[in-house]
Amino acid sequence: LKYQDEMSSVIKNKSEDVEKLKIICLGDSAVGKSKLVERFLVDGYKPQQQSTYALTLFNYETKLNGKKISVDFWDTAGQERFSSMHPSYYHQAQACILVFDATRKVTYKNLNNWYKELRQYRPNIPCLLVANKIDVDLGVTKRTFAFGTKHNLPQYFVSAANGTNVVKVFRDAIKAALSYKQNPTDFVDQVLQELEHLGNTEEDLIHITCKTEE
Amino acid sequence: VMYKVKKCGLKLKPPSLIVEYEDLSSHKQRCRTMPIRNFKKTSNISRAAEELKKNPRHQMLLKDVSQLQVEKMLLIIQETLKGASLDDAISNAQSALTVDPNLDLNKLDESKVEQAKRIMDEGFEQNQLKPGDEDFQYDVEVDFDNVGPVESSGWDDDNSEDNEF
Ligand SMILES: Nc1nc2c(ncn2[C@@H]2O[C@H](COP(=O)(O)OP(=O)(O)O)[C@@H](O)[C@H]2O)c(=O)[nH]1
Ligand SMILES: [Mg+2]
Repeated sequence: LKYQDEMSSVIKNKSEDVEKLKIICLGDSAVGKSKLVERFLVDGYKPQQQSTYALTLFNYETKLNGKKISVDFWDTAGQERFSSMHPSYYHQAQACILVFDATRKVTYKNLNNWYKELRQYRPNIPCLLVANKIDVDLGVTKRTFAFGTKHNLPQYFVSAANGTNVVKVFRDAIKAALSYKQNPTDFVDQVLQELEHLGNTEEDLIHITCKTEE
Repeated sequence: VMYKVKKCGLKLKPPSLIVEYEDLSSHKQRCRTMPIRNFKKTSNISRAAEELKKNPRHQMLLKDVSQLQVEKMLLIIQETLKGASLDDAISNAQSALTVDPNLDLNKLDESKVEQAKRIMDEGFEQNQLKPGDEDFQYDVEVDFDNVGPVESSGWDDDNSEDNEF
């Protein structure tokens, strides 16, 4: 009987067919990460404060190619001040929105550190590069920034203040995260996907991940 | 009664904030002097600004003047109390309330980051389009790829790194 219950819950999950995604925001203090997430979600959505992990999590539901998508956007809660994020921040993320402040060179220079740390934990997930605050000086949109080209990242000129390209970045990030999840290249992700097909519980998945990371 | 704030300025003696405004019912231009009581060289600027903004007699005018703007006026007055010339006081206040773009905010403590964000919020709010605003659109896409000639940002010139600081 227990087996049957488990099977029916697996079938139920299948029929709901919700694809869960995790997208993280990364970059220096005060580049505008929180304002970008806020602008994408406008009000309507209340953050789930997870104070123990010093992060803010926003859930967003949408549909893509007829498929239900449930995205968790992870925003920092000040931990970026230590120039490094806790490994759990990167854990199982399928895309990253990497932000610098187009009015402050130092935030551009620090992209290197953030990118290095990202790749240490997530070697292959899609990463979208955002130059924020273009409303301050629209002239930046005529300038080239080599970082994105060097690492082959799609680059966006954005303003959280007036909204330019905010929705585009987030939609592109969701699409990229979905295609990554459906065709992962990291070894751990492949293991995870196998398990998901088998219908294992979240707990089992995390257990397995920990093992392979040793 | 509705008021429209036109200008905000200051008087050194006695230390006061001056607000020029229009009384929208009578269309008369008016000027309000707001003395800042017990203001000293050592007074806490943001607390003094908060108190002034909360003052029931001035509230209806000062709600349209940002906290940062009030702080700037108070800072100018305080600099002169410390002996600076008016010109120096103005430029000191200006730079104290500007975020140095070369500052690595990751290396500052939380209160300094908060202060920097309050200053940046001014610019944000000036340029902000929010739901309800006439020009607000949820999805604004602009393709900058083919907008004329491009030049280097100059931010990739690694040799300049050492000369900067
Ligand atoms: N002018 C302008 N200011 C912005 C923009 N985005 C954020 N800011 C300001 O930059 C500061 C930092 O923003 P915040 O979202 O807190 O940055 P975070 O630390 O990366 O989360 C705040 O004062 C914002 O008001 C933008 O697009 N334009
Ligand atoms: Mg933030």
